[in-house]
Amino acid sequence: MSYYGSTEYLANDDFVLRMKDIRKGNLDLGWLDAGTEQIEVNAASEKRGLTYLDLNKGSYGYDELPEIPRGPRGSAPRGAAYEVANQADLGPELNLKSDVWAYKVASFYEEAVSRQWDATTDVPWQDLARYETPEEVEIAFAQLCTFFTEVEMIATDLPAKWCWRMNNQFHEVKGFIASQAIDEARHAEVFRKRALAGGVGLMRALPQAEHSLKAILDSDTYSEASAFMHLLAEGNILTMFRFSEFISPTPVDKRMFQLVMQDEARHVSYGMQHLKWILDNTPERKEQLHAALDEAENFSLNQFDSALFEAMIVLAGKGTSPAQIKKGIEIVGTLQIKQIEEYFQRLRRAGFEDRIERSKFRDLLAMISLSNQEPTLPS
Amino acid sequence: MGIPFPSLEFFKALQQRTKDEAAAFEKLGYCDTTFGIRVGSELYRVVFEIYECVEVGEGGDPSELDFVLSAPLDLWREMLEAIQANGGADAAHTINTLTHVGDVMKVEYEDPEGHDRLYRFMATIQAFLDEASGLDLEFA
Repeated sequence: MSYYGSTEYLANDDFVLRMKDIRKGNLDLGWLDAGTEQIEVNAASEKRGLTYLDLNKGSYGYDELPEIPRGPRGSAPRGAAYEVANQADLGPELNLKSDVWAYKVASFYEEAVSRQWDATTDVPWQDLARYETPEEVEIAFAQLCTFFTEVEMIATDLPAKWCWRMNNQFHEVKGFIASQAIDEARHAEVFRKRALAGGVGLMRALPQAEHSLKAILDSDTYSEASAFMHLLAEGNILTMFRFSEFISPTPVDKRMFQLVMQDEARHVSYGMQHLKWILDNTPERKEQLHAALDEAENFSLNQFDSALFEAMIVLAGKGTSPAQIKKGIEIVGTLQIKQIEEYFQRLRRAGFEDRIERSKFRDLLAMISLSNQEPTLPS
Repeated sequence: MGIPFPSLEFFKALQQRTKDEAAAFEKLGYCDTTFGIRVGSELYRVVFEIYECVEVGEGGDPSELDFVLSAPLDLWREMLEAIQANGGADAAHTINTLTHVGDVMKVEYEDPEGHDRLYRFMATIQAFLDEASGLDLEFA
């Protein structure tokens, strides 16, 4: 314990007397008149059910929540009556709406809850044995799954790290990133299961990935962490999930990647809408985000020299012969261009177009002679 | 007499399947997107709300759609024949596989958030097209 109460209750005469009074039936009943707002709430769609969007009214809603909500700093729910002087201060560090908010965040939360799936039963694991995969391809796939497992473990930790630091006035965001934490935990589960179910097991943990993931975890602010993780890293991972589905050796793997990509795309959409919210409402933070993404992009570059990169080449070429490796290099090159193009598109959509001029990825494309290639399959 | 492809009748038949197979689509979760399917030069509009396809139509403004899956008739035919032969898309004919690199089936979009909806709802969209496995089709 580190937080101790200010009162020893059983030694406090006032408390003991009041407790006995209540037991005699002398109720105060003052709480019956909380003075909170009563509103009419109906599900906009009976089929969809009662959503957070349906509760977006008056003092319970989020549209009228100001940039600095001068409410409680404890766990009083938005719209409840509270006594600031007497309630616990939980010390939330993220107290500005622009610290955490995103356009459509309530919709993202509802979508997340509705589209949950089960890594144990929604992937047809029993069919895996029906498909023959060349040994080096299965080993490369296990390396890919090892990398994804590392990534997803940290992607679980990151929202969990920031969730409790957010003021409870922002419960829609907290709910969304809590759903993200379970999504990422499920991804770590499904990739671990896949690596082991294929018979190869886990392969090498990658220092390049871990340094990048540490940089995400150690971000100074939630918005920096979000720009790095949701927008850049998960955007890259979403493209990698699409690539992985594309080159998957079995229909079982295709199903797995279809399911994980749905979650990842939702996280990326939240990140893009959070960035847009920041830039629309607190444009003075732009330089801080630039600086964070300068280093985030630097860490991301490190992925281009790792066992992961080679495993992807083997998977894309479907083997290790010189011709297969040549083909793999060409296909992975198109993936890299796609990752960068889609990142730039999201930056534009968020209103952060000037980031593109400053991005290290432009230099990367020029350096490895990919800048003139279109993202099409090699002939 | 089979259902002609491409035709509005085909998409209406798929729409009906999302109602007939409501439990399967509800398990996949909310799906809110309006997207297009372009077969050669013909554009069809597909509207999903909550769990099911609520509307299909011909034509429309592509810029008002989240994304458009665009391919020549031969490729759609190949995909649908694979779906019919396997009871669902085989490894070579999933929507993601066909669209991933962009030179087989194209994904057209103006808004990257609309584009991301293809991936947010991928399992539902794939299940929607996989419902063609139960239809008697006639290709143009």
